[in-house]
Amino acid sequence: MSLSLQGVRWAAGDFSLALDVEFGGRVTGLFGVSGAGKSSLVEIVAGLRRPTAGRVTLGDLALTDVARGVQLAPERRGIGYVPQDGALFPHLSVEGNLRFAERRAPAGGRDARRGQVCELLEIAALLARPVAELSGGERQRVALARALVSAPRLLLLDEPLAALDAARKAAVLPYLRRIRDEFRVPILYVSHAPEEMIALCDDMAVLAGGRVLQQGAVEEVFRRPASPEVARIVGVETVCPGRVLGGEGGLLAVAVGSARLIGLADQLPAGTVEVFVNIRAEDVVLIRESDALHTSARNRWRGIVRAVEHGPATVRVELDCGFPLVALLTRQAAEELELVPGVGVGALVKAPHVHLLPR
Amino acid sequence: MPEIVQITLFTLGVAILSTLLILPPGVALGWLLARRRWPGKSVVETLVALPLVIPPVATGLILLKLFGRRGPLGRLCENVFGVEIVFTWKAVVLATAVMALPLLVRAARVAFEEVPVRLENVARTLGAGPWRMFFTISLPLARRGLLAGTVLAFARALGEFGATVMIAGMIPGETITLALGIYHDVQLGHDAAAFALLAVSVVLAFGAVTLSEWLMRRRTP
Repeated sequence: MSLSLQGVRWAAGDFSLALDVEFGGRVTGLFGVSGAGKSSLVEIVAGLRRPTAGRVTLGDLALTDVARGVQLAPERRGIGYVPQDGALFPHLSVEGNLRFAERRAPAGGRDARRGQVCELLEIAALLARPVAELSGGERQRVALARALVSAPRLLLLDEPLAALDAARKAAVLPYLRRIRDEFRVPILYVSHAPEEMIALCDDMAVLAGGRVLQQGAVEEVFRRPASPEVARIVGVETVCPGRVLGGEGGLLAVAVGSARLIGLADQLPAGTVEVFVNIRAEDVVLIRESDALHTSARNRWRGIVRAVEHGPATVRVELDCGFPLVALLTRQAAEELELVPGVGVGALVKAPHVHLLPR
Repeated sequence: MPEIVQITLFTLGVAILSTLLILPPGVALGWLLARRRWPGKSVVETLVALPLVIPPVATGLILLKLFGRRGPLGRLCENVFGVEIVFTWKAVVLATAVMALPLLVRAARVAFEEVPVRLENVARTLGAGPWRMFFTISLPLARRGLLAGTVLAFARALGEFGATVMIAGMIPGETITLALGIYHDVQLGHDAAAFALLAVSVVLAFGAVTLSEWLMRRRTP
C-alpha cells in the first residue's frame, strides 16, 4: 500500500487537522490519545469527511483532490472500514451482514472468499445468528469479516479493540494477526494502546492536535521519541523481538539479542515461541557496574551506555546489554552514577515488568 | 347500497389513497430533513408543519383559494389535465392528504434521526451507493417509526373535517365522509344516523390501532 495525504486540511471549531503523511507498511499504526484527530483522519480516507484542502491518494488512485474537485464516493473507494463498535447492521443476521458487503467483490470468487474469511475468523457457526445475540468479541470478528469479504484495497481499523475488556481483547488480537498474515491487504490500525501497536504494527505514526509528530518503525518510536511531547504520549519503552527458550515455575526465559530475559509465563498463550519483549523505561533500575548484584530482581545485565539525553526532570539512557535497552532516570540519579557514553553499568528489571506479547 | 356502507367505504378509500399518496414524498422529506442540509430547508419545514398549527378550516381556505376555479393551481389542473378538483371526491383526497402529511413527515424525520449515522457510513464504505444504503439500511432501521407515522397519518385522514368541508363541501354521495356525515346528520336532526356513523368510526379506529400493534410486534425480531 501507499496511502498518502498531502496538504490535507480540515477544521471544526478549535480543532484543525493539517496532514502531510505517507503510510507505506503492511500494517501501519496510527497512535494518539482521544481528540488527536485519529477518527477524522480515518473518515477523510474513507471518504466520509471532505477535507477543505489537499490530496489523498491510494496507490495511483486519487481518492480526494480538492484543487481538482475530485472526491471519490465512499462506495467507490474499495476501503474496508471497521469502527470501534463494529457497526453491524442490527436488522440482518451475521450472514446478511456478510452478503451486504460482498456485492463489491468479483462475483466468481465470493463463495470461496466468504469461506476463507469465515474459517480464518472462526465465525462459520455464527452465520445464522441475529447480530443482537453476539458477544462483544464475536461482533468484532464479524465486523472484520464483513470488511474482508468486500475485497478491500485497504482496511481501516478504528480502535477495533477499544470497546472490549482485557480478556476479550486478548481473544480478538490473534485474529487481527491472522488477517495481517494471511490476507494481502494493507491495514491502517488506529489505537491508543501501545501493546496493540507493538503486537500488530510494523510502522506507526503518532498523531496529536491534528498533526503527525513522529513516524517510524514501532520499536524506534517507543525507544526514541522525537520530542518530549511524543514521549509523553507514547511513553518510553524498549521493544525487541525475542524467542521463548523455555519455562519453569511460572517463569519464561526469553532470548533477546545475545541476552536472556526472565518474564512471567501467564501473559502468553501456551506454546508461544516468537514474542515481542516490552520493558517500560521507568521500570529499569541502573546500578554501578562494580556494585554486587545481590538483588531480588530476576533480570540483571551488564551494559554499556550508548547515549544520554537530558530532559527537564528526567534523563533517557540508551544501553547496549546485548540488546538495546532504554532507561528513564531522574537527573539526580544519573549524575550520581556519572553516566556518559561508553561507561559500563548494571541494569535490573523485575520479571513482572518484562511484558511479553506474541509476535 | 345503504348510505352508511357507501360513506364507510368512501372514507376508507379516501384515507388509504391519501396515505399512499403522501407516503413516498413524506418519507423522502423526512429523510432529507433528518440527514441533509439544503437551502430553503427551514422554509419547507415550516410549510409542511403549517397545517398542524393553523386551524384546519384555515388550511381548507388556503387550498380552496389555490385549487378553486380561479386559483393558480386549480386553473393549472383544469387547463393541463382537464381535471376539476374543488367540490369533488378529489378535493377530499387533497384535503386529507395535506392535513396528514405533517404527521407523517415528523414521524419519519424522528425515525431517520434515530438511525445511527455510523451504520449508514459503514454501508457506504462497503460498496452501497446512496440509494442502496437508503433502501437496505435506513428504511428498514426506521421502519417502526415510519409505521407509527403512517398509522397516525391514516387516522388523521379518516377523521379530517375542517379542511375537507371547506374545499369539498357536503355533497351527499360525492364528498361526504364519516366525519362530515356525522355533522351533516346532526344538523338535520338525524341523531340515529349520526350515532351509526359514530359506531363505524369507533370500529375503524380499533381496527387501525390493532393492525398497527400487530405489525409492530410481528416485525420486531
